Amino acid sequence: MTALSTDDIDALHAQTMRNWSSSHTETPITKAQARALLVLIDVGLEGAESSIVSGLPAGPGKTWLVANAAIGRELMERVERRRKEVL
Amino acid sequence: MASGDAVVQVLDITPPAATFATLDTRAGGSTPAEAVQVWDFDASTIEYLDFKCRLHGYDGGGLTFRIFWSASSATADEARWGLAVRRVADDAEDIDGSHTYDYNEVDATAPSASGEVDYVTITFTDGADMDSWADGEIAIVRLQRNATHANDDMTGDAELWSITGEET
Repeated sequence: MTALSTDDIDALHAQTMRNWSSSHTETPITKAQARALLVLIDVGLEGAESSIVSGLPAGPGKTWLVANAAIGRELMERVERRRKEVL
Repeated sequence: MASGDAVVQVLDITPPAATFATLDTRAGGSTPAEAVQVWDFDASTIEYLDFKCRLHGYDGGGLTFRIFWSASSATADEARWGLAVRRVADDAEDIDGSHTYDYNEVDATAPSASGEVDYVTITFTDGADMDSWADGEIAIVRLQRNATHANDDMTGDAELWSITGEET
């Protein structure tokens, strides 16, 4: 698993600010601080993704996800989305 | 005319062909809700809006433009506004030709609540600073948010409500 590129972060930064603008979400932080948060979250997620997969019990599932990071990320995203909906 | 008189007549507002501010409405809190027309200027890309204006009753004292704007989401930090003039004198300025806009800029601090409006001014001295725009003539007055400038550190869109121009 790798962290997002500078271009990806730039695009995400711009999109995030547009979303905040559309929803009028009050943001008491600078553009630089918002971008830094995205970078830190990306780095944190990179570590968290690795930790989750490495923490799985040995077996075919873990082997599969270790070899297919995108699938592991998709499953985590689905669980995270559902948790956001119901918790 | 005297200082403070509204000598700039805004004839119409037009987005340029590219990197333009986008028309939006901001809902108010009344019943029925106000739908305030605003122009959104992006936080990541420099965007522009053109005002076709006429100078009427101007007496050579320079110009003071007032910019009325709010922040879509920010409650702190600064947006950097710039204004520039392209004089369109009688039988003299060919709009087909390119013009280099020379901006006068100001760093404007976002209001403490995103629904509040900030008033900020940009001034021009008479003569070259305002492209030698003279009484009775029309001009393109171009507004930009200089979003990539180091001083523009405000997250989210800047919403332009209106501009006015008066003799300094």
